[in-house]
Amino acid sequence: MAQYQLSINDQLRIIGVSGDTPLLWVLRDTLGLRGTKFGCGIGVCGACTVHVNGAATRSCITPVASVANQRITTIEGLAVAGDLHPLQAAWIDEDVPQCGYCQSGQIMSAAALLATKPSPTEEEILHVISNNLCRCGTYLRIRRAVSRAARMMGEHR
Amino acid sequence: MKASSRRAFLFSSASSVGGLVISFAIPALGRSGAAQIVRFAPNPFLQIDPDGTVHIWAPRDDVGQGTRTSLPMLVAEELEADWSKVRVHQADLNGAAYGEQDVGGSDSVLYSWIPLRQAGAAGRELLVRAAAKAWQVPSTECVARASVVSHPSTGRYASYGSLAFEAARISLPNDLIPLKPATSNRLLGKQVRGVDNLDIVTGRPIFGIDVSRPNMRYAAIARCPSGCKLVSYDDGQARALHGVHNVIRIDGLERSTWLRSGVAVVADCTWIAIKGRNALRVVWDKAPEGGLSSEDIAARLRQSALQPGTCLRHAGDVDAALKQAPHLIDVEYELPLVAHVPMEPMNCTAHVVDGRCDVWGPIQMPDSARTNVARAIGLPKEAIAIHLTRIGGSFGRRLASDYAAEAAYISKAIGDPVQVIWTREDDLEHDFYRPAAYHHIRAGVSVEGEVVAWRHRISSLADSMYPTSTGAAGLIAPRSADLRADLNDDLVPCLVANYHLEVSNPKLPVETGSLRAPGNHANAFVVNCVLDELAHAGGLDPVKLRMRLLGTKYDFPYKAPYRSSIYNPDRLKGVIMRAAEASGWNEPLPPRCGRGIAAHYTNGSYAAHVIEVEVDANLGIRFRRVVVAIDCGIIVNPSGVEAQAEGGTIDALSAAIFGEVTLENGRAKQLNFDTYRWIRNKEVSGIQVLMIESREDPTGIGEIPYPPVAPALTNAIFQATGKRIRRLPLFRLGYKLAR
Repeated sequence: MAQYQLSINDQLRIIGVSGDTPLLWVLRDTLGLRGTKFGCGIGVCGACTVHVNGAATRSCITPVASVANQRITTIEGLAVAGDLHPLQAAWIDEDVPQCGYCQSGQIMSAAALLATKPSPTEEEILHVISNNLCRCGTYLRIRRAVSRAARMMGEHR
Repeated sequence: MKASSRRAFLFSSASSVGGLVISFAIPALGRSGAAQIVRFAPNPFLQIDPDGTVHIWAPRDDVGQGTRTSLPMLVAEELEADWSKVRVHQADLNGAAYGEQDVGGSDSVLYSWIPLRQAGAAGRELLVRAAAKAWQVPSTECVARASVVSHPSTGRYASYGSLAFEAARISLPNDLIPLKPATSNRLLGKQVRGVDNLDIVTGRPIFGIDVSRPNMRYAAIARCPSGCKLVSYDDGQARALHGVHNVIRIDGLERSTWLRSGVAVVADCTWIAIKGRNALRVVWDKAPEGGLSSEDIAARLRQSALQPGTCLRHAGDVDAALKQAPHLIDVEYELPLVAHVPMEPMNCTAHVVDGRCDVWGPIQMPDSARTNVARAIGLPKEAIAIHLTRIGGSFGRRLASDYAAEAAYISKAIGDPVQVIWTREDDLEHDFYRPAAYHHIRAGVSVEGEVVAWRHRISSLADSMYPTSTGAAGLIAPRSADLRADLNDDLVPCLVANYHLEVSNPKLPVETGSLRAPGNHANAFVVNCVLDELAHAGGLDPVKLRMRLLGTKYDFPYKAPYRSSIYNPDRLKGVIMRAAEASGWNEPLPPRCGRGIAAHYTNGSYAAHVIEVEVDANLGIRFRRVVVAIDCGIIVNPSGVEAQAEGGTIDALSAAIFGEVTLENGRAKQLNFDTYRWIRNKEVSGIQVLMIESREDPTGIGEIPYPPVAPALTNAIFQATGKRIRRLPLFRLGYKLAR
């Protein structure tokens, strides 16, 4: 057991857990932020994707000790002051979710891409979103939603 | 699915009486006394608040098939509610109020079609009568539309919210309120987005795994492998971990779908529970699954097919017809074990206290889950409440509710609420796999293209979970009316004059269950491939061969267990033609390219796929075109139907290409998504979805697009390469996805 100071969605949180605890379980069990999902536990499916200093990161294989004092964003912190992120809006417009379980991870992966590459090519989009599994097969709508969000963000720049 | 468990539930018009619900609001700060709020709740599906909010309870849970959107749409359509004012709630298990709530067999819309529209119509009629009474006009002169009742000739109107108080005081006579004709539908047939989309994209805690209760513990379990017994365990290391509260021995029940034996580690967070579980040293009495390997299973299935099986159908003189047939095939097909791997791992939360048990979780079959929980903890069913959350996928896995029994068992032992969580490794090791199967077919076709003889032998692991199922469900035509209708002997060929079907189910200690369109998809693969083989053997076009087979010979007075779904060969022909036309079936193809077709009738609906591929010299497959035509009657929500058609196609493609669990010394070798491959976004091509316009009552969509995919793909590969594929998955044969 040790104490860690975490910056999560622009809030400082101090927690006491063992340092090898994956960030995923700190978010879900310790902090009650349950939007980040457990899918595989080995960093392969992407359901647990969060941002650490803006980079898409698999929280299920990220020991909490390694992200102390880093800037962490989860799906709960993606909307700013109640305004949905363009990806969230596009996801609703394109009616992407089926079961919905993987979708927060999908959105976080795509959000990290759009933050660094506002006008990605189709190839770049495909490359990034292929890191996230969707068992329901919402892949085609995910592609459309990411492209739509990128267009929306382009129009507002 | 067991047809016997399907209860037709008719919403009783006698209950359309008033429905006055009075509750007391918490008084606002600084004011004394409770404000009385009157709600209009004419039946369990529906409530309208004075502010016009329309609450609708979805009686069945959503595993991703869209029922939390489509079922409330049925209520809202007849209610003439403004959809933007509708708030959907999940009904907990309450059979007296909601009827059948178990989800399976793509039958949620089918079985809700009448009762949920009746529920909405009753609400509408009461609101109209309330307005008519207030205006002192005949109710027949009033019109309900978009949550407003109006009296056109006098220009008066009133919102549903303003009428709720009065409507709650009216009783209705017992005659059924007539339902609207399909032509008057305003909401049904429109693209309606999922009601949970906002919660999903903002990460709200709506899934079973997100449930949190005061003082809740977390548990992970070392489960007894199939066919084994627990001998002993050493929990010293587990108990030494900071945060571990308890270690509980679980004494399992007769069936693994009820409760498996095991050792549970209870901790104050999931991570410690998993770490503690991994630190247990457990001794089982023998190797799991009898030490079987996948090769053993395949050999046993082949061997079993050499012995006489159960004859499910015999018509004509197959041997004579085979002797006379000018073109013959004699082929074997093999299907592997496949895992479900829904993205949300199995989990469930339970609290047993004071002789009661509350269960919260991703429970697809609440009624059978309650039975399961009652059996596991020795409480009467009445003492158990099942609370339903949204479900992160199932694909058939959650037809079993073993995980709910585990949560209740552990909570009973510790007295606190507990969430049981499965890791992905637990999921793959203790799944109820899609049964492995072996098929041997000898069939013949005439020079005119008529399928004249068909001898079919199936050996399958299908009956481990459902002893009454042969796993032989669902070939190109459905079960015959005259033979063993209680068994799922959908196997064809009422269409083939000389036909013989035998099935055997060797008993092996491998846990099997239902995967999306169970039986149907496995048999659709074999039959659609065999039809393609017959077409090729006879030098015939595969579409023409199917048209001839489905011809006019039989007007099926086919009685399905699915109400109102009379199998109609013309509708199957309809989807075949639609898919063929849209795919440019007769257009010439470049070298190394092929086009395959397959079609299937599943649970009352019809689907046909045409898949066009290019296969390179290294067996890399590139999709050129994927077309799917669907006929599921009246389309309730086109966005939902399209989503299921795309998703079902992608699901089935992934299973055909990658899906196989192999056993080695009784243990699954693939324990996570690194080795149990699933298709990725970039590996998928565009899919053209065609929906047949229909006035027929709506039937299912969740499972329907799945069965034709694998055979359409392998038939396309045959045309491209000349190589027949008679065993899945494709990657074991060296195929890969080129990109």
